[in-house]
Amino acid sequence: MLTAVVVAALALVPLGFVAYDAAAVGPREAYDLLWRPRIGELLWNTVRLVVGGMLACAVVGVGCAWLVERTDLPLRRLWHALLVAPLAVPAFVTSFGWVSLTSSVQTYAGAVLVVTLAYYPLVYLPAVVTLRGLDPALEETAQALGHGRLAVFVRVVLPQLRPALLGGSLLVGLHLLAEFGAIQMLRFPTFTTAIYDQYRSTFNGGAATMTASVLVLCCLLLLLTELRLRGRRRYARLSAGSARPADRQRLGRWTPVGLLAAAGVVALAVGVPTYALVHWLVVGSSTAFPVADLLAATGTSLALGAAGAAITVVLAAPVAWLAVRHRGRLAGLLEGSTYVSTSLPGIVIALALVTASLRVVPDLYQTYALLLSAYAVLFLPRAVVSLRAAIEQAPPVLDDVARSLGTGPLETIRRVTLPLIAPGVASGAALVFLAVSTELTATLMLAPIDVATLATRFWSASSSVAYGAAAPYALLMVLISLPATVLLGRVSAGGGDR
Amino acid sequence: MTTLVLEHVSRSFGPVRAVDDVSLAVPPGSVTALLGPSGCGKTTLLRVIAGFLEPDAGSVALDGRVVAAPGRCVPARDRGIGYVPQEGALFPHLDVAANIAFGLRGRAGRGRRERVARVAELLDLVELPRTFAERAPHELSGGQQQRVALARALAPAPSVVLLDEPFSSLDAALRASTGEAVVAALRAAGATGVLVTHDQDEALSLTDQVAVMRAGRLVQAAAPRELYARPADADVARFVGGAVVLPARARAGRATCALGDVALVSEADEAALEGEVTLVLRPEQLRLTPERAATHGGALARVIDVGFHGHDATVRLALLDDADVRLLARTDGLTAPEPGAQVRVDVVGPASAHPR
Repeated sequence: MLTAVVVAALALVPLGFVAYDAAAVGPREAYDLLWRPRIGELLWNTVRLVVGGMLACAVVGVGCAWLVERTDLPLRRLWHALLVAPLAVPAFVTSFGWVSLTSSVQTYAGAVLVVTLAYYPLVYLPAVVTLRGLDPALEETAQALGHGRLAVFVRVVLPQLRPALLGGSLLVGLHLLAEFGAIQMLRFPTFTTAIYDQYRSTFNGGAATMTASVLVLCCLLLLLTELRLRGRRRYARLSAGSARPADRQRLGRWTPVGLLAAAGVVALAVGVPTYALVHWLVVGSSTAFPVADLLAATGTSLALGAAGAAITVVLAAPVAWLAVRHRGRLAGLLEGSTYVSTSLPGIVIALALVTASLRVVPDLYQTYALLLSAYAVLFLPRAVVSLRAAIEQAPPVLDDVARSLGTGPLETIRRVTLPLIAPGVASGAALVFLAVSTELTATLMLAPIDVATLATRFWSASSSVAYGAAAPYALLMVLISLPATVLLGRVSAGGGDR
Repeated sequence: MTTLVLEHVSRSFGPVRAVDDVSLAVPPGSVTALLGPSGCGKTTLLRVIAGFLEPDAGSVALDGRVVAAPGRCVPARDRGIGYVPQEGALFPHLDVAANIAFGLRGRAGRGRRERVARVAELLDLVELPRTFAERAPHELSGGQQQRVALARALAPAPSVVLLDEPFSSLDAALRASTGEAVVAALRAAGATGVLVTHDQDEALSLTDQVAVMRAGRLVQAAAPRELYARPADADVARFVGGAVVLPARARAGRATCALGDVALVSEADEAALEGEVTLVLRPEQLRLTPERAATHGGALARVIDVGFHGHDATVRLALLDDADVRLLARTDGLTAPEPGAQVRVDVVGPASAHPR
């Protein structure tokens, strides 16, 4: 119990620091810092990027989900695998792929295109799951009540897709607010890139913090919207038993159109970045295979991933345990607090930890300890979600049975609880591991000076337009991410990757 | 062979007294049902006996040894009480043999050969094929899972086995056969059984003693036949089988009610009753004959509706003299009257009665 409170408190440290710093700036100065045309421009850019990205992701995600789940599109399993594939490519690599081939995407429309291609799977996956679970009897009933196909889709299917659609879109929104690497490459200034530049150029705590606090407000606004929308309604089948699969819509002579649409999305989202990587690997003048550097960066990424995963899972365990075994207000509050903090952009968390460490424990600045705690705060929810599901696999009644058979508490944990939750713990650790090993923003700001990961190497190479030198690092990151993507695509249950 | 004795056991959750001053003795080798609607405290009582909960007051004794009293509770793992939860709760990561052998200690637990022999013996006891030993729990049907759960509870040879609504998740046909097999295995193992259930058929047909609980209190504990013939009050009567409850006036072992003059069960309590009483009849005690007029005794009634079940039928009636008096009769399915028909109602056998 106490440990869970401590973990939740730790997760809230960054939020607290942003709030404290913002309050410390003083009203006069805050007004001056905030009431500038620059902030207005950033706000306008951020909002139109987020809104545009969310809408485009919703359309692409639902459209693809419908094609794959509800039509007789040929090769559906292949399309599904390919449509999930962008999850394996970090957004800043997708962005790199486009930017390195054509500078014409460095506009608003280009930015929306690129972030949509990177993030639409966050809508696609929950939409696929919902469409698969939808009871066809509902649609048949609606048809029997005299509705045409289109009316059925609008009045029955779409409302049921709403939770998946809203949840996925809001997740996209949070990711877009937090995205730094991809947007920096697109040269489309938003809050994250501005915070980073302010931090880099001046170490000006005040300006960066004020900008960050506006960003935090945007995030909390989105998060609140999500909570409200999620809590209000339930769409469940009322009867027991599993739904039978729905009949698929015959595409007929529209088949080529469907194929073209799916192929188009896949070509833009997977094909272009892949082509760019291969192109720069093969023809790039700066291409070199500094094997030692590659190995060192890979080693660092993997080691950080392993350490981050271990720490995060250990911290998540008490929170998840409380949430499952001792449901109540406090447990819910603790679980919620881990989510709030981690919906904050990595850049804000990194900034808060930098300020916090410089002021309170300067020795921690640019140490592994600080970097790992940033990872823990960022990725705690992924671990909590997996562990929750795992602990639900070990209901308390099994403990009762074990006790009645003469087993002591420790022996019960060893013989019953651990074997049951092991798979969930492993998958939670794997998710965190993969997230950490491709993390860019917090690593850039917090890593010890001489430490380079795949992401930071890639970043420094591509920032100095050494595209050929950047390509091998990007390729390695994609390879590392593949297993988690396969896992997500296969499980397809549960909402997204948060 | 162990006697399980509960004395004045109480247990509250916050302001709710889930179990309120319950005293009950379970004779060795017998099977007792804790019967009551959901939320009556029967599962809480079971968990107190098992050692998962401590009582706030009162004591639980096994063979004269107090295992639970406020402040001094023997932990569940040292009580030697078997436990079969709802839906079996087999360990999903272990196969059937490992589930059954989970609680084996000492020689039987260590030696491979002893373990295999004990597992086989227990599979025989619960009437499952020995080849099931290698199966995973999810490869078994619900009834089979329940039998394995019982074998697992019986493996360390406990003196008492507690079963918490073990058949409620099974479908009707499987419920009866699994129930019989489980009770047969309990008796063959010589274990004392306590079965929590809300199903009165199950309680009456499977057990030696039925303890009826209501709002945390023990209302009546009696052998099934006794319970059915002489329910402690009208509510118990309604809960255990259907009941026709009528106001009556008692005198010298007989009672006069809307259906005429009825004999009371020949027990000391009823024989001594005088004056205003509540009379309890079972639906099958009402005999219906098609007739236009009452000749001797009996009363005339009109059939309101008939629930046809094949082997029998439940007939709802209203008295002709006083349409406010509603009756429930159970008749042969094939000879049931039609709705709207007029019938004569006679009472067969003695009724139980309670002072008003």
